Amino acid sequence: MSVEQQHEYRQRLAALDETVARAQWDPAAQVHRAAGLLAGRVGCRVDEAHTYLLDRAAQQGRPAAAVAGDILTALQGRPGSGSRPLDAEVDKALRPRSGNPAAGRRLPAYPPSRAVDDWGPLVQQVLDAMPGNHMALSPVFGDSAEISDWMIVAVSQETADFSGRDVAQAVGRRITQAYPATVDTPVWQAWRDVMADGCAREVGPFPYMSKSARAPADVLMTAWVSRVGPGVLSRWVRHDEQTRQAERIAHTERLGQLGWGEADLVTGQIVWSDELYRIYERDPALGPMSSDEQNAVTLPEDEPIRRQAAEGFGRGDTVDVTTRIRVGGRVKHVRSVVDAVRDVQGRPVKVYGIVQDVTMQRTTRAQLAEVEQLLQQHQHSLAAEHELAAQLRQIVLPVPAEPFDLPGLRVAVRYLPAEEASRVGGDWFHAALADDGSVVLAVGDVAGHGMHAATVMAELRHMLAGLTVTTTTDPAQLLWHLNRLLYSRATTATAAVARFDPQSRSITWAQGGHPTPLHARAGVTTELAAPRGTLLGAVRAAHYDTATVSLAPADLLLLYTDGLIEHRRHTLAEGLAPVITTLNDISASGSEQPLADLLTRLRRANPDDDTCILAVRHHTPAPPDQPEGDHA
Amino acid sequence: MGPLSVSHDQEALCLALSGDIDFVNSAPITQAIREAVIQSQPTLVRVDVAEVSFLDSSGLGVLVAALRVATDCGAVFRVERPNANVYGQLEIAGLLEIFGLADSDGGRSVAGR
Repeated sequence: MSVEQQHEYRQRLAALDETVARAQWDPAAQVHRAAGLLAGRVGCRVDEAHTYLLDRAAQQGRPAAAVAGDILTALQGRPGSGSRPLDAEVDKALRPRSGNPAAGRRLPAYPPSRAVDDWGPLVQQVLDAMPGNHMALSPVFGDSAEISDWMIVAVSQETADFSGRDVAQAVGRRITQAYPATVDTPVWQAWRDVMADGCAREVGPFPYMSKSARAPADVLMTAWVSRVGPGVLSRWVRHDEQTRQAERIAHTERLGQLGWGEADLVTGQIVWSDELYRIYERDPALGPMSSDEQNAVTLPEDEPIRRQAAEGFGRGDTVDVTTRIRVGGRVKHVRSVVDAVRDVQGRPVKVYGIVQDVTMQRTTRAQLAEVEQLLQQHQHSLAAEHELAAQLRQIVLPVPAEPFDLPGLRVAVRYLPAEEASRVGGDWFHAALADDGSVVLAVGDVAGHGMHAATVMAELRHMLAGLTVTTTTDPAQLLWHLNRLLYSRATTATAAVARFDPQSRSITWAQGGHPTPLHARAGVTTELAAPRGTLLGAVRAAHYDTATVSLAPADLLLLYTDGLIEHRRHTLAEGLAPVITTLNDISASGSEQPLADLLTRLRRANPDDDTCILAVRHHTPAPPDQPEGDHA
Repeated sequence: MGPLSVSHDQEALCLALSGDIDFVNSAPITQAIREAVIQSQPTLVRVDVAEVSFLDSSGLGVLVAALRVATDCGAVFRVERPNANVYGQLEIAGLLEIFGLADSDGGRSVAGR
């Protein structure tokens, strides 16, 4: 460029400056320019802006040119970020008059940032009430008017908890400080993009490498970003968390055989959970069953239950019913709890239900009831059998309540039935005068319990009574016969049989596998030495020997069955010891009624078994003219 | 393991009883022994009662029933190794000789209690 040319250029510039300066000081032009600029900025007509300017000047009592000058200074200073208070004022004032020129359009890309101070607390309040991870951010501009960072304006409680700091600490910090790992991730870019064009975005899943030691090293995230106020709202989920929750729910469903379903009555859409498909054994590819299809698999017998539930549901009740369905050739018991979201009139708009397969519980309960019934029947029949056996005993073998007298003897008997009805057995006794003038005494025990034992007992006893009249009073002979009878019945029994001779006052006795009688004299009790004898019914050709003992006036003789001494956890000697002690005491005491004392004091060892006790002592009848004392 | 186990030793049928043998379990045990003897037709039936803790009259009935079925099959019958209490019961029942326990003390001395 030449010197002349340079000079010319400067002159022109000076002229321009002069023109501009003149124009700036022309009040009318000033107002026109300001109106035009304003209209362009806020999107209204120029004449509206012009009228507004004049009104405003009038209100403020200032020249229109002065107000216009303010506007020009403000709007020309920097594009889009002029005098903020004025802009806001202008926007606010113009919109009602211009019918909201911004309506239907996206928000301005770079709104005045003054509002950050105002929206933060409000958004925070909103986020406080919401589940999930949310963060409201406001852009921070760098020197080049580019967004260089983000300020956390509000943050949801869950997010704050997750990062281990409270909301108040997070708010006001910059992302680069608080969450540096976010920088340059897809979500970082999304914030800028949303800020630029106002369109909401979904980004991800993208890997997020947290720099916090407490957070998982590498998780997948998806984020949703939208424009809110002068900034963005960012929401995100961690996929591992979602998966974990889903797994947990699925696990619970499977464990509890619980399924859930939802039916939207407005859209007709039905959703089933996986377990519900399993309960109904339906291929998920087929989609959920319609209401009709569900009705079809319900057993017709349960239709009334369903109908009743449906009526209750119509009245607004929550339904809780258990019905049976037939799927896969099996009947299942299904409990359904159904509730609804209802409109203001109470009509359901959305139905949701939890369904549980309770077949196992039901079946178990039904089986239990069945067993219980069987048990009851069994108990009834046991009770009946016991009663019958007891009646039979009573007929065959009435037990005298008081001691009674036979020639030369006083006899006392006690029969203690087993505590459990089913175990009443075949214990028996015999004490009667025989044809030859001797007294035959016996106690016996038929193996087993119940009717069979009672029946055999009756046979034995009748046979013994018959034999003493017709055949013999020899104890060994009697046992020989009893053995033959029992052998033929394939039943075993034990017995001790004694014959008392009133003349010699001696007792001859024999036993078939039976506990030996006890003989007490003056405080000393001895087990009689047992003559040879085998369990009755064990072998066909059994031989029985006899032994003899004399009965002195004060002596006691005790015949008993094994229930008195036998106990499964004690030895026979241990069982016998208390019986011997009792006998010693009573025979030493000189009691006037030793038999009654004995029966009162003797306790059987085994409540499982029945017990028969027969005790005798010497007795001489008093002369007829001298009434006898009531000695027992 | 149940109260009865069955094994074979050449011509012998070995039955081992254990626990309480009483009216509760006597019927099925008797039936099982009967079947075992009839099926195997042994020349000797040995009943090991070392592990028997208690016998009531029904339990004795089990041994007697075993004796009868063995005898019917022509087999020798032996009860072995009773403990002191069971031995005492068998003694009272007069069965020691019949059960092969009286001729020697072999059965008794092996019993550990």
